[in-house]
Amino acid sequence: MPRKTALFERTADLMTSVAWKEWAGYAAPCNFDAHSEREYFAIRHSAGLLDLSPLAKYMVTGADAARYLARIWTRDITRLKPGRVAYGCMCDGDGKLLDDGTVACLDPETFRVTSSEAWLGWFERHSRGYQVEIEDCTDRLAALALQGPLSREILQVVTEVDLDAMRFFGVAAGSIAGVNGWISRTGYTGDLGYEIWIACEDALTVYDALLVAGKPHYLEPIGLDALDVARIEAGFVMQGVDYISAQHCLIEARKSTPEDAGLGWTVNLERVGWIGREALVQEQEQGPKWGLVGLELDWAEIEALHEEYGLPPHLSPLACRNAVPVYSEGGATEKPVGQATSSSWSPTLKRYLVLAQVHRKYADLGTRLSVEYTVEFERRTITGTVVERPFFDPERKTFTPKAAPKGASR
Amino acid sequence: MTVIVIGGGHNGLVAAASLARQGHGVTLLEGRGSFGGVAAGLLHDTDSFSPNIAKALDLASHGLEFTDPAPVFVPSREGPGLLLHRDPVQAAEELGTDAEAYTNWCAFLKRVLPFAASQLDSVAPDISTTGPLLPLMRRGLAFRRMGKTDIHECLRIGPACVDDTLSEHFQSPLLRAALSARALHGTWMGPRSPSSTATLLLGEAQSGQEVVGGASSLVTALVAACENSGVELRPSCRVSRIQVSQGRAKGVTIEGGESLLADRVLSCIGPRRTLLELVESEHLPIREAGQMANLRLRGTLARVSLQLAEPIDYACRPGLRPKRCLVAEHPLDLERAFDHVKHRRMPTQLPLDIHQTEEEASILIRCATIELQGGWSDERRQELGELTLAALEPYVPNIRGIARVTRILTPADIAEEFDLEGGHEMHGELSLDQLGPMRPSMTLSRHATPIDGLYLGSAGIHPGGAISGRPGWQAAQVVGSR
Ligand SMILES: Cc1cc2nc3c(=O)[nH]c(=O)nc-3n(C[C@H](O)[C@H](O)[C@H](O)COP(=O)(O)OP(=O)(O)OC[C@H]3O[C@@H](n4cnc5c(N)ncnc54)[C@H](O)[C@@H]3O)c2cc1C
Repeated sequence: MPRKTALFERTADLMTSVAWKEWAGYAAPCNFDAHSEREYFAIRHSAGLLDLSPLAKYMVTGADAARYLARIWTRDITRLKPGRVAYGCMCDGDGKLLDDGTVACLDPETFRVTSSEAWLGWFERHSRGYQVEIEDCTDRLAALALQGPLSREILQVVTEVDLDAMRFFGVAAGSIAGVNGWISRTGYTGDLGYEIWIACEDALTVYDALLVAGKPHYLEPIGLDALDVARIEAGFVMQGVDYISAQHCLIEARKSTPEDAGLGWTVNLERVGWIGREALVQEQEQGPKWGLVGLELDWAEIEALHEEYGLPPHLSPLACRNAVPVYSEGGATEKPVGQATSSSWSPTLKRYLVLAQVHRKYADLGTRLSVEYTVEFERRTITGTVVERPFFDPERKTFTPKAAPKGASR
Repeated sequence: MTVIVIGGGHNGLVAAASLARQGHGVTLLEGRGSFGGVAAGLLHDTDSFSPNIAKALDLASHGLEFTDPAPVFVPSREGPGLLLHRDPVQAAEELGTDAEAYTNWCAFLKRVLPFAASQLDSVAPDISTTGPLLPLMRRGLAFRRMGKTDIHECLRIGPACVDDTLSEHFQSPLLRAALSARALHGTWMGPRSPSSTATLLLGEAQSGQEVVGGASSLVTALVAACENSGVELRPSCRVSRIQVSQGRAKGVTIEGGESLLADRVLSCIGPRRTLLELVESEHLPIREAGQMANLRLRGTLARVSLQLAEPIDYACRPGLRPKRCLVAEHPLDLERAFDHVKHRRMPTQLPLDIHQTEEEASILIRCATIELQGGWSDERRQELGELTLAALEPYVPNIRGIARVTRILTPADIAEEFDLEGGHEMHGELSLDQLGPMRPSMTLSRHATPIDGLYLGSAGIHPGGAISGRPGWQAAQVVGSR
């Protein structure tokens, strides 16, 4: 049975629907209304507030904390400065993806790690020889995501932390609505946004204060459905959806390397000593097999296809997570060349977006592919073209009003 | 090529001498003040030392001689005890009704052991999926040559417990106790533990003639062989780090900070300590790190030394005064002793493995667990000495009059004094999953490691424990051939 987060009583109260789903063992709202559209538009036009508490969170402390994290994470954490956050992933010894998440450097010997699922056993198993302590703080630390173009203005009302000066992927300690916590400029929406880290007992205070501060700005509490559409627009992969953690794979073919899942940029093969590197160096020599691509489905074809059945095109407000085969252009009778793992209509871009893992040779920009599409229980295909990812990438995501001049460290 | 050998136990000495004779520049680093490791101070039996290696290193020219092993006496409270000769003809008279069975058993061993011995004399087979098939087929063929009946028998008894196996053949509990005691060396088993027959066969496959003068003569000869072939011998140099850069071993750092570089590093100390303590975690793939973290090496050995006014004379056989003696009248005595190990308790009734000279006796206790609940303390150490005398008293009533306890080494003391991880004399328990191509693990048993230029060659590597010299010898051949 899913457990309640520290905010359950409030989110349950705000919900007019009864739309919960299980997220890492906790009950999490899918949407607060019958429909997630209002929440989605809040993310893109004002701001949305999400209870992020189920996220797995760890405190890694000690003299060797950075060196240790640099071993189990693909990023070189020894170079992460206090006040900065790094997104990266974690591989097994064969270089296959286990999970992805963030590492925040709170001080040179204190780091907070987040991941999609629980990894305490893995973390401890590989901590031999390092002076570190690893604490699973998922249950004691609540987390909120405040995301959207007005999130800075809203959050600034309740905190003294100078948000105008906080850079993308920065993190700072401070008082938020009178309680001590941390703010990081991170998120899963590809928009301007913040994540707030506070003790569970303070979570309601902060949540309520933000709702009050956000009221004049049309802040909305949001659930996972709206977030899912936003993250696809941002082109973010999701563990368990766009790639499967090697830990859960029964067959080799299901595992992905970081490169396969579009996370190759978090990997530096020159750097030695991290778990999975040797295997990935070998794979690099043979050339990676897969690539993650963003596809845009041809809308005119979708309309025409529905027309054949005398139907208007149907657009779900929900993202679709059912993987479907992707074929080479017009090659629906042959073996698939990949699979589309997430897809969604983008209400902001007015385009039909797909994240897909395809054979390397079909991953170039502009390549035309055929994506399975079902109408009236018949499997047909729609042309999808490889386009730039992120699909949606507003300037505000990274813009910092009081940015320190380049080169100055903050 | 220059090679650093870490650890001057008998395997390190064998490896260093062999590499130097191959023409390489060898430096042998030993943490203690003298060479020989465990073999130097504690050994009773030297009959596992490989005669082939003795020959290859020309140890005879350094005074090494072999002789037939002394018989083992098993005293009894009710009868005359048993003086067990290895040779069935010599043993027949003592064995009575078991004589024929013993002759048959020895004949069986003689037929099947050459195959096992040949496995011990070669590098472990590569049984990973990518390994070549031909060598495996050759081994398979050699195995088949044993013939159907013996193959079936080996397959049947190997996984069985040694007590069952021996009970099928022999009546005398003294005989069964004596034979099964040997099967338990280096294991974490009792005679009723499954697969203890396999370790019996392993032990028998290694045993041959004994070194005249015991382990200290062997160590003296090995040190001389090293000196003679130009090995730079450096005692009191404890290695604290193996330097690795870009996945390759470059040399070592010695306690105190001195750094030594070489083309190859061969570690003749335990594989776990080598890989988990001397190598920085970043350089070791997690597969091997996991394997080593899971390696079992729980020491169960303690030793009590006695100063004797006169040699120990057993009441059941006055005047015999045997050099070697095993105090255990029944395999169950050994099993009960192991129960204490299993439950991390102080044993109550100690089986004893005794080796005596005119003035001294060395008594090995193989059921004192290093994991003792509450830990080892001065009182526990004294208690062990007292228990030893108490265990001897029924057989040697005047023991307290003629013997004075001079030294007691608990497993914890042995671990510390001989720099032995877990106090385990073989750097890894002997058990089916830690033997052959799995000793110390599937990917490390062929001496090479995932770190280029770093090799393993102690008792913790195939073919394993006892004072055989084989792991060190084979490692030296592998290092030399790369
Ligand atoms: C009490 C006892 C009785 C035994 N009885 C018998 C017997 O009767 N018959 C038999 O065949 N076998 C017996 N054994 C087992 C046998 O002695 C061992 O299996 C064998 O000697 C191991 O040899 P080795 O060279 O591999 O390791 P070791 O003898 O352990 O040698 C390792 C050497 O490395 C040194 N070293 C450790 N760490 C470092 C470091 N960091 N830097 C430098 N040097 C280091 C140690 O000081 C030691 O000299 C007995 C063992 C014990 C403990």
